[in-house]
Amino acid sequence: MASRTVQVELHAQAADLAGLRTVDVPVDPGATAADVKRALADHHPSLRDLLGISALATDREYLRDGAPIDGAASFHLVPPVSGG
Amino acid sequence: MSASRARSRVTAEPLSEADLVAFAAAPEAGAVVTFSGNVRNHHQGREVLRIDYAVAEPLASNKLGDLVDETIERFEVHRAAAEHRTGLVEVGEASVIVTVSASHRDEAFRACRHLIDRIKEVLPVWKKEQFADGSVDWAPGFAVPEADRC
Repeated sequence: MASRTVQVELHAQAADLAGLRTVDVPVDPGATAADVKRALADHHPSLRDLLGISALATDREYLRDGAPIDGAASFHLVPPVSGG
Repeated sequence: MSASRARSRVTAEPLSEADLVAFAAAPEAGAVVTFSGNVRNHHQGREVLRIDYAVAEPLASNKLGDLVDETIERFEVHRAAAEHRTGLVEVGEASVIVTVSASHRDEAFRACRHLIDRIKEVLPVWKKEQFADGSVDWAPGFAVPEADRC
């Protein structure tokens, strides 16, 4: 089956490293959050070091690496947080 | 969660501690505890002028609501509220305010501590500190815990 493209919004250090606020990466059917992170690493090598300590999220929830992304089309890459 | 017991907001506007305390007050609440996190003028020996807060929206607004609800579920509190700033916040201004009311002070203190700790652990917000020497730096942070990922 053909792959599709998902959009990932980068934040904070991730946006600085990639030099972009949003990136599009291809994913295959049945892809998991880990697959999206792998695609990010492949297409944006500058993010590799940060990906291991970052979480993928939808607008509503953080995703475990093994979580299927189902039909979702857009995500956030969330590097270590420093609010408060 | 009853809307009248929970309040949360992620906003570029200045925060009002008085508004949150007024919200949390209730006839049955003998204790109202508030934590205000303010921008301080130093970080690791360097002079800080202001902090620029970046947020992931709408994830941040959704998560802040979840954390207030979580606090009401886990503690014997009457009302709980939390607000967080975005954008430029000057030294001395509040970047986050948490207010909790309960019948007694022990529970109010514990619930308030829980809510601010969880905000620092989970909320998708990032501090970019602007220093007096002209440099800027992202503050070190915490990786979102596995337990908070679905």
